Amino acid sequence: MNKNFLLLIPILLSSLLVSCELYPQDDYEEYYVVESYMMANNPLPNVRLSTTAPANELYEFEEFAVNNANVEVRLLETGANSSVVEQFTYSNLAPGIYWADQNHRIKPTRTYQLHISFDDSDQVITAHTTIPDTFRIMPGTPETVTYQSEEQLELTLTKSFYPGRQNIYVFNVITQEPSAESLTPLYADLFSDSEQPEEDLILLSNNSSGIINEANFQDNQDGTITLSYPWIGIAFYGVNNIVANAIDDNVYDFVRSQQVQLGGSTLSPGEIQNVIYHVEGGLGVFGSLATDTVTTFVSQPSFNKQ
Amino acid sequence: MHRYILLITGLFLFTNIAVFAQSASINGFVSDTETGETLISANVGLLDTRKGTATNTLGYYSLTDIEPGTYTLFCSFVGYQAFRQKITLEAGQNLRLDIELTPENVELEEIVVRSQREEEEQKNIGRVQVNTELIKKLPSVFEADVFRSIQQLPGVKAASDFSSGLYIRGGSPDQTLILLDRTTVYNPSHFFGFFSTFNPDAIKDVRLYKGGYPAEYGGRLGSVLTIYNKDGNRNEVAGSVTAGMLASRASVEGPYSKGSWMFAARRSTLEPLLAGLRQTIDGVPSKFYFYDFNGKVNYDATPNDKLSLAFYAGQDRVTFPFAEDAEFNLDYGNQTLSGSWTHIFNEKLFSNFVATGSRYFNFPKFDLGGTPFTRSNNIYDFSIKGDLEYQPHPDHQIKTGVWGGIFTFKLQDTFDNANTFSSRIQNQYASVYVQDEWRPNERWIFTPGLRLNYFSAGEYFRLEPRFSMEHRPNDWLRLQAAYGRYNQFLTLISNEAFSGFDVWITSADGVPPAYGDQFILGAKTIPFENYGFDVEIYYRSMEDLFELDPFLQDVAGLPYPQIFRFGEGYAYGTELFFEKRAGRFTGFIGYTLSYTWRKFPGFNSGIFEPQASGRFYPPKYDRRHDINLVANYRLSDRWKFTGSFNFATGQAYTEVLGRYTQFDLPWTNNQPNVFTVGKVNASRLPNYHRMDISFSRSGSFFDWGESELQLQVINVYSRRNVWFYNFDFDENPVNRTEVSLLPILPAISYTVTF
Repeated sequence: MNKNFLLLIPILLSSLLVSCELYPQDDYEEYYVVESYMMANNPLPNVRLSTTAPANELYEFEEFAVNNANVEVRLLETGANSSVVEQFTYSNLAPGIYWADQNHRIKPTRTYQLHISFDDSDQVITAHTTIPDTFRIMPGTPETVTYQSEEQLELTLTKSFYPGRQNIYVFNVITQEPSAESLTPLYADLFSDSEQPEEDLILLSNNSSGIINEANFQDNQDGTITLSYPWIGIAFYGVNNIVANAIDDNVYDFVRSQQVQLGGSTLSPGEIQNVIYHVEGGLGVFGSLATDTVTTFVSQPSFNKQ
Repeated sequence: MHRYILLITGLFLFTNIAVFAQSASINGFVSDTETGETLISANVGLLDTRKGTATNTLGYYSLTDIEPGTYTLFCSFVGYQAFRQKITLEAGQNLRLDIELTPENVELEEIVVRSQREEEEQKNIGRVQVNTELIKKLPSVFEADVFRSIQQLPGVKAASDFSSGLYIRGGSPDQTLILLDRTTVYNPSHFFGFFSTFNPDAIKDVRLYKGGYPAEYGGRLGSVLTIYNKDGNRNEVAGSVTAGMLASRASVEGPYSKGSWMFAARRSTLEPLLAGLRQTIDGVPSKFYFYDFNGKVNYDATPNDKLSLAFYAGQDRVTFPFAEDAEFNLDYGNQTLSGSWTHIFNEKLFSNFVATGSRYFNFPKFDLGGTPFTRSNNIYDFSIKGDLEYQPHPDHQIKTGVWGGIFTFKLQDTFDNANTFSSRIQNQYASVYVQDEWRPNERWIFTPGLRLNYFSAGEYFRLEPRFSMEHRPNDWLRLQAAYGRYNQFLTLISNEAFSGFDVWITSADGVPPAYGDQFILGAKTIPFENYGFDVEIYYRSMEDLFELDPFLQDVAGLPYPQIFRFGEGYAYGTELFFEKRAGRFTGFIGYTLSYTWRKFPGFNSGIFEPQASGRFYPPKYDRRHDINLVANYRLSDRWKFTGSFNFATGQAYTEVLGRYTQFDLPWTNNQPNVFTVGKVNASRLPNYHRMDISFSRSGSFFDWGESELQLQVINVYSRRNVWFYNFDFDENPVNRTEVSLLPILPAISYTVTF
């Protein structure tokens, strides 16, 4: 054995001791949470205000509702840093829920500010949203379509506008009288394993598409855009209200980042990131949408009829 | 000024001519006497002189500038009897001497001749040669696997029991260049990443450059894995058949008048099992199989000209109807083809030219409620390479070469029969390198190198200096250092849990290539005879990393640079490797202490910090401590035991700290729960450990050939290692459940060789 070799051992052992914790786990912190969605040409919406709950504790909204806040929504002159043109106060009429005290129809393309303060602290929560421009679903949507027929449901929209980027949409289909018998085959199969059938029917009765960029639409010569509505978006036969929602950045960032928390992206399992927020002093969403709705009847194809 | 240069050049040439005018040389190929298979990194030298070299990747050696006289030429290679032959060289003679080595049938108690040069090739800094026999011996889940064996080495980590992906020195799998017979392989996996595509029956050489790799390679930030298929038996027709639980394989090889050929095939054998399961269990694929073929034909045109044609084709297919009116189909695989011409100009100049073609494809298709989602993803890579090895002086071994090619990327996504994304990008790439291995004396080796890369998309030129050096203060210690700059023009969109949808995308205008520097210090020691103890310390940086933005759900209409997130990273660590190389008992123990960090703007920023900020975080595969133990013991002439044990610090994960609910989303009746977290991946899963064992019994199969029965148990004590935690927000409070890795698994295989 080479005695010089022994000299290496203490050097190596000391290098192993370098291992130490450089990246400690954070402790839980409580944050304020806001939630409100401004819809173009609609009255001012409610504002919810609460706090987060520790993940290992029972969560009931009422338990974490915040009731002592001064809530205002402000219409700004031109953008986030411009002066206040008009302000609307809110009153707390239910745990954690604030109603607007004034009537006001939300103006498309304008910027609104949410401002929340507290009498017993210096804490201030603010957020801004720029309302997407309104648009219309053009006449011509068929009154009746046959599920999975050759003639797919097509929607033609006038263009919305949102500053700095293409329009981004979320579609949802609302069924007024959902029943297990009127479910389309895929949803019927998924529903057959349901452990909470009543709740699941309620969920399916307002079936959302996820995010769709305007680039997926076909551009028409008259400046309108057309989307073939996918059959997977139809959960029920019968009367369906199809709602097109053009969304602002706050809603867009919330939707796309909240879904990643549940996995399914390129992130490794267990690698979870906070949602992308646009709220100063708190979490949640103060977002906006422009919407239009069309009604169509989805009939059952003949081969599926019992 | 020009006169001085001419004068110096003239003097240099004159000196060389004066030295070489009366000298002799020896060159040739080294091969296995039984199979004729050329041997890579075999050691060749003249006893009692400092003349020595090692065979290159084509089994060729050359000794030049030898004084006329009588010498003993020796040649050695692990697992082979040493070769010695007395030779007499006359002035100006160039002796062509092809050497055949005879395999040892049992491990020697001592290695009689294990020369320094052999050690050098296998123990160069950052480099590991993987014994192909060990790949077959190691216990592995269902099927012997090259990548699973490589994962036993220090510095190499597995993402999980389900992934054969190579995470080397803090790099993700796309940072390792994988070359099969010099051809790039883009998705080397079967079974959605469960094990690698390389058939252990077909390969003869596997070597991994973990870091600081030389200028002859490029294109990846981290490491290079080179795999060479067998040339085929040049003496007789031989083959083997193996029946296993997951797959069965067969290979056959043999000679013909001007060379040799080899053909190997493997196919999964799961159909009967799946058919049985479908009778009782829902959710079993209606179709699921994979196969691969390897082939090679060699043609020895002249003693100085060898041609070869090699191919690989592999494919996985699955059809999975998972609900009424819902089905998932996936078809993915690789194909490679390479044609190689090796030409020996003279004893000082050796060349190899190769034309390669590589295709990777995947065609996933979902059909949900009458709405199809499809993807057609194709990558085509056609290239031409030329490499020269030139020995102008015994102290200098110059390597230079060029590599140019066309990389075509075609991706088309459709949703509901309408295009949602369509892209066809064709890029040209080229590189040229030169490196010199300079041995001024017996104590020092310097290897400076330079590589220039070009990538047409974005018109990127990147210069990469490389340097390594070695000092031998005495016979038992080799001190090494290396530095290199590396660039990468490609990035992989993948998911650790499933590699069937992999997409490679490239740098372009506004998407600069990633680059990084590597610094390595090493010491290779021989503490006792037949033992080795190695240490390497590394640091590497990663800049301009580009990855698909994980928060983008729809990329339609976005400018190309906007679909990425750009970040940086660094990694450092220490690797220890202690091995017993010969005797009845052989094996090694490897230990790695490592740190890996990444940072992307908008990711892992404090909850109230601007979105553009970000903090460094450890990726999931970061493990602080990693210990691997591999032991082989020859119980008797018939029975052998192989065991492996791995202990590793738990992987990083993000602990969910808080929650709230969004109640009023206008476009849904769903009320999503939202998590709040602190730092990303700041918690650790429980430590991972697992022991696998294998017993093999060799015998004869009637009179037809030899047989080997292999009995294996994976995860002997059924440790339920945790893959990740699943947070169920439908439960109140949030319920955290463990998703476990493999339980105890027995496996059996039977091989007949003839």
